[in-house]
Amino acid sequence: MPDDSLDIPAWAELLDQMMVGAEGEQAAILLKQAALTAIYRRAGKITPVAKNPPELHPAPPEILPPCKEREVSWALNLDRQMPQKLLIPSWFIVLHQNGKRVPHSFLPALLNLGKRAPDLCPLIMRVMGERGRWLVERDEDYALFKQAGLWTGAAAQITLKTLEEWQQDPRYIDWYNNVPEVSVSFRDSAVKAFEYAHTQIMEGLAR
Amino acid sequence: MLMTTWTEESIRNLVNDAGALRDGQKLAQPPKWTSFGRDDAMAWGAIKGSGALPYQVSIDLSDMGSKCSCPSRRFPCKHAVALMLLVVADAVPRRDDPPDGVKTWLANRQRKRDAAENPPETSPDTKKAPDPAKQAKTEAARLKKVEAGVGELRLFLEDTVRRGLSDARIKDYNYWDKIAGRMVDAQMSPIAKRLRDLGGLPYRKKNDWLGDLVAEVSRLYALTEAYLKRETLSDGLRADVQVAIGFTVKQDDILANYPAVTDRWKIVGQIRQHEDSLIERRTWLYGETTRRYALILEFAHSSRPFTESYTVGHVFEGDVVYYPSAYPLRVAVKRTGISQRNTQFLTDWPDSVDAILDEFSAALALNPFLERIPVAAHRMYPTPSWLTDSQARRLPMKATGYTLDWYKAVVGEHRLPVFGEWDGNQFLLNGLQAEEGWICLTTP
Repeated sequence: MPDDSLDIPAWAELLDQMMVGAEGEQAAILLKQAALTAIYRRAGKITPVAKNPPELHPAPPEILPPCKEREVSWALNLDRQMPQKLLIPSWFIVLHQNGKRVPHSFLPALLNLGKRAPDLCPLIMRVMGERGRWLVERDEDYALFKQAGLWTGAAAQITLKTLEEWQQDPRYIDWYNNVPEVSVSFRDSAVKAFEYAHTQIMEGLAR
Repeated sequence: MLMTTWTEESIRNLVNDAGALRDGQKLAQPPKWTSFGRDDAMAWGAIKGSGALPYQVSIDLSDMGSKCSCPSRRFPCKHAVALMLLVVADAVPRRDDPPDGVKTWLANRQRKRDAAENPPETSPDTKKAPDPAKQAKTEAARLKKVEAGVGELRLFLEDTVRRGLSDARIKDYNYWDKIAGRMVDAQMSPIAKRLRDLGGLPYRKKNDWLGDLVAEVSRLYALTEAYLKRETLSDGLRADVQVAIGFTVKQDDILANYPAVTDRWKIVGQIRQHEDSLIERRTWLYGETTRRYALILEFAHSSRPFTESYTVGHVFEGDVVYYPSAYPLRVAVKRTGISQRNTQFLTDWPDSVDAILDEFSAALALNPFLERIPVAAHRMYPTPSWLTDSQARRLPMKATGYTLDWYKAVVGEHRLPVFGEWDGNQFLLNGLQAEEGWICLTTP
């Protein structure tokens, strides 16, 4: 607490005087007064009580363990290019089969992926955990996750494919056939990367 | 050397260059390597790059020292980082045929380490003893420069106030950069940095930039006053003033001349701040028995790694030596044992904003020039803007780049244990105990 016996100049007055300027020795006196007041302000800071303190409704505890953050980064990175992008649903299915969920820090990215690709929502719901469901309940931005019928329809038909089945998938074939001639070596690298990613997912060891 | 069980986290902690880390993570996939292997002491690999021949990478597993034949100037380069990550992920097979070049490199490293730990004895005639007269002369010259610098700074600050802070010139970066340059010449580089920072103050979109300017200008003036009257100060406060002005104390002198404090030191926080190409790393320790905080302050160029990997959430038995100060925080590490993971959160930390502010007041009463204090607290509710306690008192938070969505997802509207730094104006959140464990926030 500030010592009442000391003459601590008012801060607002000091600022006014500093703005205007001073003559001769008055400048040094002003600086010393400002230093004294500044240290008292810094040491005696009192924070007000928040006018509208947050009403907290803590999220329920999780049931499933999280997968590694590295695995989610890796999976979200698949979304950046074809044909690896096609494997994201498989990654969700394997994660769910392994009895795991996405870590909390990745839930915003996951939920936003669902907003961009609504057909992934049913799969995302299986791996979002209790925290994800709590976020969906509280935020209107994620209303599409609450739509009825998410567990049925085309999304529910997504299953794991073998590599040979992927090579027969129309989307894979379409990408393969439409790569420009000049990018054939790039296509070959992308095919290898796809095969490696597929193996990683099927072994449940996404890195 | 801190013996660390290497993990992906400790590798990320070791590598300063964000680009090398990011690119290394992309290369940390076995199909990208034409060959690799490891044994207990080393790891090696060959990876195709832009050159005709694959780059040869070697890792010393005792300290993750590395060597790569690529032309990159980063150290460690992305290839070395990738191999380190593959090793800790157990993706590199054990082999008993390390290349001769790798064996030679490792042997040379070990030889250098042994030589550093056991320097050859020299006779009194050949040993280069420090020349006391020369040292005294250098010190006198330094003191003279600083005296002149302090005088120049005082005149500058008084002239600024005489002119009035409504003068348009104080909004010009050059106004502050010029005097900062003079402070560098006077070997007062911490003062130079603070003056350069003042140049940007009017442009930070803060309503109270004038108040901040006056506070900082007056603090600098008070520091010069304290320096001129340093012989009247306590030993600790005098040391603080001299450090704030720009005098440095050699770590070896601290280790040799001051008592060590032994404890089990928990690594509770780590903050990195970038200043051009230099990185300042503040690693905060907390002694489980002494109940004291300790700060390991290190600097490294952004292209070089730090020599030690202190991983938050680990604990080690060791001795540290506190630098002299009126409110001792900074330490030199004298001895370390094996670092082990220990996420048990200590229970005797405060749980109110008032307690944090009381501690800061008490610290400032001892050292008015203190920049910040470490803070660990229970039952806090963090959001991007505020840290709120259960009595609805709150501290403004420093921007960390983490979004509101991230806070909602990770915090889940729970009151949590947190760690950070309080500087009198803003709380820099560095870590929090979420449901999934301790989360260390990185500073932008």
